[in-house]
Amino acid sequence: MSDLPGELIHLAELLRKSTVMESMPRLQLASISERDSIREAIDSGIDILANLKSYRNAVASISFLPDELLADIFYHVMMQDPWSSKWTQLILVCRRWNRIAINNGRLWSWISDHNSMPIWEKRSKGCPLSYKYNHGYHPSMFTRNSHRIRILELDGSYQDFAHFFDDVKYMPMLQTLHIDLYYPIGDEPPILWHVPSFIVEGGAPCLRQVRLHNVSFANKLQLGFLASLTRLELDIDWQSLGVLFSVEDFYHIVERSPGLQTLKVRYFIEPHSAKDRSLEQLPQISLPALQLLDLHMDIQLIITILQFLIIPPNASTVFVAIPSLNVESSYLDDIKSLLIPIRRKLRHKDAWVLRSALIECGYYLAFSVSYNSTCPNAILGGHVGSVAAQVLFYPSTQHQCRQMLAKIINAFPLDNLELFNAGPVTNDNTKSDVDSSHQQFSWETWRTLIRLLPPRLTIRIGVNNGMLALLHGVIDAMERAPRVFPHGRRRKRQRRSYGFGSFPLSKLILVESLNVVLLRSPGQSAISQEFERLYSQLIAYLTTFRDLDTGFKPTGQPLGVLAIEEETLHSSSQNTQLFEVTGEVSFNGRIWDPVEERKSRRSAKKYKKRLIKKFPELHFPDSDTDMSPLSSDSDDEEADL
Amino acid sequence: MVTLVTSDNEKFNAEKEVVERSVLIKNMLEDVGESDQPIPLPMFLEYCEHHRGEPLPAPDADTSQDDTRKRTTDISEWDQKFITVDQEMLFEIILAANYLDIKSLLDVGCKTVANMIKGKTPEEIRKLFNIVNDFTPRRRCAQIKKENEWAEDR
Repeated sequence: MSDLPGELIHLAELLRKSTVMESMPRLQLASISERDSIREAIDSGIDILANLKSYRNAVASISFLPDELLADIFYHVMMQDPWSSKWTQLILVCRRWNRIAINNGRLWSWISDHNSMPIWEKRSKGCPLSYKYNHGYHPSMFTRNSHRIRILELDGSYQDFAHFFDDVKYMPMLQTLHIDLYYPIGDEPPILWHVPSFIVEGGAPCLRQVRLHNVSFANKLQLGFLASLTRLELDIDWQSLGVLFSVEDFYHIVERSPGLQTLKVRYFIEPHSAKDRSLEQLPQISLPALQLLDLHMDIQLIITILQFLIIPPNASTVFVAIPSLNVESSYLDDIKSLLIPIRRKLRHKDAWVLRSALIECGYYLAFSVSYNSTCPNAILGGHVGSVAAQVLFYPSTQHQCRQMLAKIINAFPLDNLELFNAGPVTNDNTKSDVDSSHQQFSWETWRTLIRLLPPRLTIRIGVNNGMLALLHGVIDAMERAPRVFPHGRRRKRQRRSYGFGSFPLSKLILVESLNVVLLRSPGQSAISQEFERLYSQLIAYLTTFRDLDTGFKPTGQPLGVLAIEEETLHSSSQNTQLFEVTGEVSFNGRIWDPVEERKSRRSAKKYKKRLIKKFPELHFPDSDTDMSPLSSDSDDEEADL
Repeated sequence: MVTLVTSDNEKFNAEKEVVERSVLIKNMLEDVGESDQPIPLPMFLEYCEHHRGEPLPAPDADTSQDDTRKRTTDISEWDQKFITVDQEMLFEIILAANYLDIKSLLDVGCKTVANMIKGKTPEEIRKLFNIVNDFTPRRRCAQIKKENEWAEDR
């Protein structure tokens, strides 16, 4: 209190002594000037009160942080979502925060398309800028600030940016360039938008990160600007458009950027250049900092590139391998060649242990593995998140699909696999080997897969025919599992460790189906019938599983755990039946215990009886909605009553 | 070995490699040279001991690297545990990390406060840090709201 100015101490004293007014006093005031002076006095009192509040804020523990540290915290808040202006809420907290935020140029240096861009430009106070444009608004502002732009992201229609760079010749601070253009359907251009000429002519000497989507180069000479990069992403939607460079050009680009952390290329390389024999003479390039290598192109190109790249064992690799245009080569042989370097990388002594895998199929077959025990986060060869490796191939038949799976699983070290996610695998039918343009795993394919995967897995799959195909494959693999292992050291060891499907499954997680056919089922009753069918077959398969006797599983040992995370199946399920054919049943993470269930049902019944006795005027329905007519407990409960 | 003395005169011995995570101490040691004189310091050894051997951020690291570091909201499990303290202590740690110039600890502290702020309304933030709205209602608030309309609807 001693540091407060005298007037505040006085005001505080007055406020302490004042009593609460019970009603607005009626004042007899003679003149307007008298009223004005009272108004002024009250207003100045309000100002003093605000100052008093500021003094109160000054004693809050966060206020002991100096301005520059608070500004640093605000910067962290802003950087969590830099292109949004949500962080500006901070300026409404109090006067000090407002002053610090408004005066900190760094906070206003991430500018995206909105009407307040000029205000942000002014408040950024000469700090290096990060610009994100979606529509090409305020091009003059871009031109005016081009000398201090550090990050530039253009994302939108190519027409919006047609003349965007016309008046810019030099961007000395540009470190990150991201151009992502789309062309309206039916408006595909004969040639793609080119990287601005000043950039490829040395006008961006600090450029380290380049991400181009549907942007090409005027000629191959321009590739020379791609040097000393840490990130390179080149992606075009049409393989036939844009200047394609050769594998040798690509070699030199990588050679000039040994510090690359992300290297992602989709198409962009001339497929025929893979056959260039001179490439064999070139020395290998090591990329020690590489974290992600993502190649989406002709399979022979990928094989050629992997011959000269040395990748760290813990870098993520994603390969979308398109069948080669070269008719002389076989796709399966190419896959075998491609899997050799992947196998070497994943089995390197410094590589992390693989814990989970994800399989997807459609008109393609994708297999992803991850070091963590949750699951790889990858769909359709897209963002890789925690993926250690992903391969995506295009099988033309189920038979070919099985051949590919065998090659993949033999190449990947899956001995420590815990979780196998087959959620994206669906099936419209349960018949064997139906080949169509959309690959759907038949039970025979599942059988092959099960026999290759390590035993006692946790498998996750949607509630659909795919689930039935999987269980059919499991049962078939178990029935065929050899009880006596053949001679031959390697084969013997392999069969001992894998058991060839003797006990493939210890936990089954059933999740929502991605099957469009099921989702399209007309009407509620049709869906319910469909689930009744799936449910009864699930019980049948689990019963067979329990009764089977294999080399590793005696008769009577059921499936360890069945976890149902699917609402419709849950509601139509007959819990007791499931409990009889599994070791443990859980619904959405809650373990179902028949004894506890019975107890709670009984107490619910008793509570209801008490209520009926106490409030006879409330007409409770006779039927018990809590009691499932399917439940075997219902007879016991009736007897209790 | 270096002898550190806390503000309440308690003495700690620590290895040079550990205490040199603080740029301030590193510079002090370089200025003073080899000496038996103790260095007065608040407690920060636990943190430095745990992060011993990790590369220090280069003093001339470019801003994009700095931004990348700030963009990640992840705090390691150990750091999370270390920084789970009451607000008073949290701000003390931030002040100490700033004074001793330990960038990684300062980052962890600032990220923690930033995570506490994230997604909250101004009123919720005030409540969290025990501060009050001290804008003068008749002038400043209206002016601020007008100036920053986008802050409300984005």
